[in-house]
Amino acid sequence: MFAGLFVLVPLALLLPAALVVLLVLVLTARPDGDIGPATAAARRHAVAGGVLAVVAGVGAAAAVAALASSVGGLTSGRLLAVAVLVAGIAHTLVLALTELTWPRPTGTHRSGVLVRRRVADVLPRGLLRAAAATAGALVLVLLVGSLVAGDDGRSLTRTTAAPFAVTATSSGPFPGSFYAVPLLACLALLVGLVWLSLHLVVSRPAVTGAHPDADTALRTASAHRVLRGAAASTALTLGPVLLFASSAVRGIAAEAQRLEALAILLAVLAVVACLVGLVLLLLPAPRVPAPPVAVVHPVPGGVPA
Amino acid sequence: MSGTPPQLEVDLSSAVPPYEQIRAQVAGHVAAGALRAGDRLPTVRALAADLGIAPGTVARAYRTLEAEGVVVGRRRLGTVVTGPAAQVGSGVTRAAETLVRHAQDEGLSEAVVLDLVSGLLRSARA
Repeated sequence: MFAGLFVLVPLALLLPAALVVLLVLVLTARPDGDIGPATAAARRHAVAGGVLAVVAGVGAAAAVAALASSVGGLTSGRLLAVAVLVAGIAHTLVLALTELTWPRPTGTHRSGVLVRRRVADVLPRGLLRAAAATAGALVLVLLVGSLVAGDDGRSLTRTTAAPFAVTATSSGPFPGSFYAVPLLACLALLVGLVWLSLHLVVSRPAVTGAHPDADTALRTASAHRVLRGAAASTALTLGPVLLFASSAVRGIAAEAQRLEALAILLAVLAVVACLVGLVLLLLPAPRVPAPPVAVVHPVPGGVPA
Repeated sequence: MSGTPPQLEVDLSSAVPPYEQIRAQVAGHVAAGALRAGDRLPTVRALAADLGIAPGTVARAYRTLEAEGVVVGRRRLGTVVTGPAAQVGSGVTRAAETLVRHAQDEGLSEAVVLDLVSGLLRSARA
């Protein structure tokens, strides 16, 4: 039952947060008339993809949780451990499909920009750092957990030498190799999908007739959604992992003050990770700027119709 | 390259083939200084996706530009601007800018201005 925290805690926090994000997006959206029909249509496609991605993420986590409750046993714990990362994978997958189905240029007049786009040009730096930090922290915790865990890879054992006997105290579940392997596999898959999605964001067709700044803003917003989902799901996985580690450490602490302090530190870090995950979810994507009044760069040698 | 990046427009209903439209506009941007030596052009696939045309069309325009010495294809960097096909003096550039300004003031279309310049060039040669 305790393992259910892996899904229940993040989900209980994720659902209202997703609603808040949606509400903010709707209330603060710029009217379509301000940005032109083509840009507005592209924005609608991106927002619809973003909403679908959130639905797919929540649905995937719920499906994994349901599967976990039906299989039972140790597999259940493993499934619950990866539920939030699976949500992140489903979310990113839907965003990648959104990029692949991006509106193609139509009509007889087409336009493009004579500049080579790079992923670095559209990456939101803050989110990138947050995603890298949460992923790095999760990898670190899982590697350390695997090194200090017991032989079963899911418990923590402490051996104390008393005057007349040696006693061993075990506590679990603990994020050792038993949980680390599927978690790291899911994290690797998520990182790969994020990389792919960001390249799709850069290589998708430009919005015909849109100002270059508007096109760049749309791409930055797409990259923001990809990184936001990945970073949030990683942080919301890190939180429960740290919580389990804290609980296991407390279970073997007995009267050892250092272990008690470590358990408290891990619990605090778990709360911080969950809060970071929620804050990341609440970060709205950048808006599409209104086109400037001035005419953009003239096209020399244009061809008469 | 700074500020708004140079744009490219293709009219699929024009009698001029799309590859020629791309070639002329890239060459124009290079001659006008909007694209400078060392600037990297978008990949064939990226520009074709932006314009919704076949990659072969963009590749043909790039090949023609390369033959004219405006761009060069490099294995790792892609297509890079080398410079204008012919050096344009500052006097000619200023005169062209003045012409464009006057044409815009009078609301003349691009086609009319180009016809005018073409006509004058032909008259001068005659």
